[in-house]
Amino acid sequence: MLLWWILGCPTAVEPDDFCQEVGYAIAGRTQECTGQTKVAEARYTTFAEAYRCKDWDVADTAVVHAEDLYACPLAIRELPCELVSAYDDDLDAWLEASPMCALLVEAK
Amino acid sequence: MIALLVGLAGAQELVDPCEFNYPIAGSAGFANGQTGRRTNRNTYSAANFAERSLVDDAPEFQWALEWNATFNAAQVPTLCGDADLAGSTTKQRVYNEPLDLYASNLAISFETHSFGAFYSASVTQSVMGQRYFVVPTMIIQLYPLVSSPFVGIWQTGDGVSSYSLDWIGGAHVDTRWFGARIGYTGIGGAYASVDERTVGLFGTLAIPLDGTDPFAGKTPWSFLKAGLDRFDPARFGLADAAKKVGLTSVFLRDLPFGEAILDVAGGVAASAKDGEGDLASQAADLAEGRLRTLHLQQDNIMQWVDVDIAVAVSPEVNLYDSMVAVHTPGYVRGRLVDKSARARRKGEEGFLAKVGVVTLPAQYSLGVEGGTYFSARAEYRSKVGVYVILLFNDPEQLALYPFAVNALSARVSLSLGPE
Repeated sequence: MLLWWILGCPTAVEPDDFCQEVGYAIAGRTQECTGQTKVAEARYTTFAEAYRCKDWDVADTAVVHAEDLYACPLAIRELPCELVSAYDDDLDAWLEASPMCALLVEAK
Repeated sequence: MIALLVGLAGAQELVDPCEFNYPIAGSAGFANGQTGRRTNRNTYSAANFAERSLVDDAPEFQWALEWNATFNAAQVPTLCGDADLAGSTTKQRVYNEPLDLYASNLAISFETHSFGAFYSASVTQSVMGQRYFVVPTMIIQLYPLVSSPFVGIWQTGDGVSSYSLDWIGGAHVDTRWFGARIGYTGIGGAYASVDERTVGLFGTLAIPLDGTDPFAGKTPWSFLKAGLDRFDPARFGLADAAKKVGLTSVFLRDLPFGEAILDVAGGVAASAKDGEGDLASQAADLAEGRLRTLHLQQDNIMQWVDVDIAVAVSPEVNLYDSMVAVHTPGYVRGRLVDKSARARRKGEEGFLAKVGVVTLPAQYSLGVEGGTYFSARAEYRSKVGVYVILLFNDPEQLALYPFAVNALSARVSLSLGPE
């Protein structure tokens, strides 16, 4: 029962989770469109090195509701493969997929 | 292990569960959940279960029932929609909800004079939360498992939640030298399995029959498993050596990774429903994902110890594991036994404990940071055919669900037959 309880517990969304999801989405869509794991992982590393996360408190709804922040990674995951190929390593172009992206990350 | 899990739980801020939860698309957890539900359907498909549960050289009648659950396979960002009636306000908030994967399987076979028939069915589910309600209802899945050929195939899902029902039926032949099975799958495909009974070579194949050319660029099979299963030197007069070195297995397994088994047409349709865009663009975007793993196993060394190594060879090497197990003598059984040996080993109780480490590289496309994780497996087999397995970070789990770090799987099997 203890194991069941522990593994059944929902957990909180951390302030930088939204930003990390952007990087995961870039890597995930790269993997789906190219089938190249190394390219996908390298693209995430580039993202992590070139951009700074903006933290968000999920309870703060003054600017935007937290659930709407996922519009950025969702838009990236829906990019047509032709655009993924065209954008290549130009991450600024990737981040124009949704206006929400500007709320989550900024260039270092 | 409990202390470890308590520690893991302590590392995350726990929040209250939510009755009405809505998964949010766009996150790695959501994408993993969609992959997980399809992989769950493939792994515990009716064809796969028949191959695994119906033993060779079948007795006159055998059956097997099995329930599998993987808790916390993925953490999915979720919007809680519960209403706080007392305050007339909503409790809307975003949090991570664990996604659980369930499978219920049934297989039956009977035989007279080396010829017989078999039937196998599966129900797979992926559910967010509601664990206290879902687990007890797995017993109710017996009804669709039995009635599947009459009610048809079900594959439905929304977001990361799904329910799938499929079945296969066929005929088999068993001789002293070889065994063979051939069957039709309710989902639209053919299934064949052959094993020879001198050395232990075997091969199992499932081919989708959807009207497309199976050799038109794609892998023609939806499931393949072939190699050498539990080679026993004792069968060649080397009984002493067999007690020391044990049983040797070498085999390759090829599964769809993420995409549906045996349903090239149906799978594309299901994927189109999952996501967005028209069917053609969805189909064009579906890269053929295959999970090919090479397994080397030396079991029953000195009758007590197993050493298992598995490497994922496709799409890229992304999982290494090395495990050492200790078990009661006779727990691991040879594949090829005569009827007297089978009669002797019936009713034997035993257990197995396995610990090790599993190393996952960072896989940011899945939202996995990577690292080396503690891995454990415990098995118990009763005298009356009840079989219980607990898996934590087991390579068997992580090969299928590489994002399911720190997930716990449980399996309960009931069988009547030689096992």
